Amino acid sequence: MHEGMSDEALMLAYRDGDAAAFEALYRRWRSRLYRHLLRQCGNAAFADELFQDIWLKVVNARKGYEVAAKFSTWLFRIAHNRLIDHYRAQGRAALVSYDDDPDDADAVAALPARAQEQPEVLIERKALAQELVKHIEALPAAQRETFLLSEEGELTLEEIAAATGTNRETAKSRLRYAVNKLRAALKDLK
Amino acid sequence: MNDELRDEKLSRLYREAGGAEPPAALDAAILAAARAAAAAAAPRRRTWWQSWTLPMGVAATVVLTATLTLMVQREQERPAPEAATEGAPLVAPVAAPQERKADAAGLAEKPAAPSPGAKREAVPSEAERPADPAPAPAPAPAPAPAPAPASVPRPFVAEPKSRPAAGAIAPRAPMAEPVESVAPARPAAVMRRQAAPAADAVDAVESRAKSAPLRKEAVGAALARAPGQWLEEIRQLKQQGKDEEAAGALAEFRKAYPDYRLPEDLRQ
Repeated sequence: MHEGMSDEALMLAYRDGDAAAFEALYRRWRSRLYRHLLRQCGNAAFADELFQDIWLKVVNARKGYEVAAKFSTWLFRIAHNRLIDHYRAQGRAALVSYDDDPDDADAVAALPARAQEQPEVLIERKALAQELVKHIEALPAAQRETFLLSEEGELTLEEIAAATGTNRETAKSRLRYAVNKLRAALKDLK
Repeated sequence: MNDELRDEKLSRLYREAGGAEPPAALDAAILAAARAAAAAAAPRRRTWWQSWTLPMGVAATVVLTATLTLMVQREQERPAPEAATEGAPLVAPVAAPQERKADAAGLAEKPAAPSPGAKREAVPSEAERPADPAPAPAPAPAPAPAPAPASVPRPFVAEPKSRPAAGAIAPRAPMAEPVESVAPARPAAVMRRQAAPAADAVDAVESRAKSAPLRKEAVGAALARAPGQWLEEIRQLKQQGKDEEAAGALAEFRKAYPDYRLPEDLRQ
C-alpha cells in the first residue's frame, strides 16, 4: 500500500494519522540512520539512545511537518543536531573538529597511521571492510559526518550542506578530504 | 549524487561492512510510540447514532414547540364558554338576596310591565315580579350614575351599605353593588358596540344569554323589550304624565343604545 509512496508522502500521511505510513518510512531508514549514528559515536549504547531520540523527534514533529526538503535531509538534520548535543554532553572535543579547516594539513595528519598496525593476515574482504569502518570512525567528526551522510543518507552536497548547516563548498571539501583519507588508508591496508 | 567525489570501490567496501542494525526492542518501542501518537491525534469516529443526535434533537424540539403552541392556542380559544359557565353561579346567589330584600321591603312600586323608568332601579323593582325575575342584566349599564327621579320611593335609601362616593347612586347602593359585581362586562360590551346599530345590541344580549345560561330568563325579558318596544313604553309613560319616570327610562335607554336614533317625539 505504501510501497510506491515517496518518503515525503509517507510522512504527510503519518501526519494525518496513518500510523502504517510511519512504519513504512521507518523500515526504509532505520538501518541507514542507525549505522550513521553508530559510526559517528562509535558506541552501540549511545547509538541506540540517539536513534530512539531522533525517531521520537520525528514523531513529535509530525504535526508541523511540511515538505520543505527531502525527508532524508530533514531526518539527518535532526540526527546532526542530536549528535552535537551528544558531543556536548559527553564533553568530547568533536565539536572542535567541526570547525576544522578542511584544507588544514593538520587535519590530514590526524589520520591514524593504521597501515603499520594492521596485521598482514587481514586479507579477507570482510576484515578489510571492518578496517574501513574503523578508519571512518577515526575521521574528524565533520568529515566523518559528511562521508556518512553521503553513503548512508545518499544525500547530495547541497543536502549535506542543508543537513549540517553549512554551505555546499564546505560540504564538498569535507567529503573530498574524507574520501582521500580513506583511500590512503585502503592503500595502506592493501 | 556526489559522483565527482565518489569512490565506488570505497563505497562497495563500506556496504560490505554493513551489518549494524537497531535492536528489535528499539524498533518495537519506536513504532509503538508512533502508533500511540497517531491514535491520539486521529479524530474519533462517530457512530451512526451519534451523527444523528443533533438533527434528532432539533426535530424533537421543533415538534415539542409546535405541539405546545397548538395546545396553548386551543386553551385560549376555549375559555369563553367556560368562563361564562363559571361566572354564572356568581349571578344567582347575588340576585337571590336582591330579590329577598325587595320582597322584604314590600316594594310594589311597579306591578305592571317593566317600565323604562324602572330600569334604573332594575334590581329592586323587577325582582318583585315573579313572572320576570331577572330583567336587569340585559340592557342596564349598571355603574351609570344617572339622575334618579326624586319621586320614586326608595325604601333602601337609608341603608349605608354602598360605597360612600356614590352619592347619586346611594339609593341603589344595596342593590347596585352586587349587580355591578355580577355584570362588569356589560358596559364594555355596550361601548364596543357604540358604532353598531341597535340590532347589534340585541345580538350582544343574545350572545350574553348564550354565555350565561343561568340568566336566560332575564335576557329573554330584555329581548322581549326590544328598542322599539322600550321606546313605546317610554312614550306611554310620557302620555300618562309620568315625565320624570319617562326621562329616567329614556336616559336608561340611551345608555343601553347610545347610537339608536330616537324618534322625534322622544327627543328632548
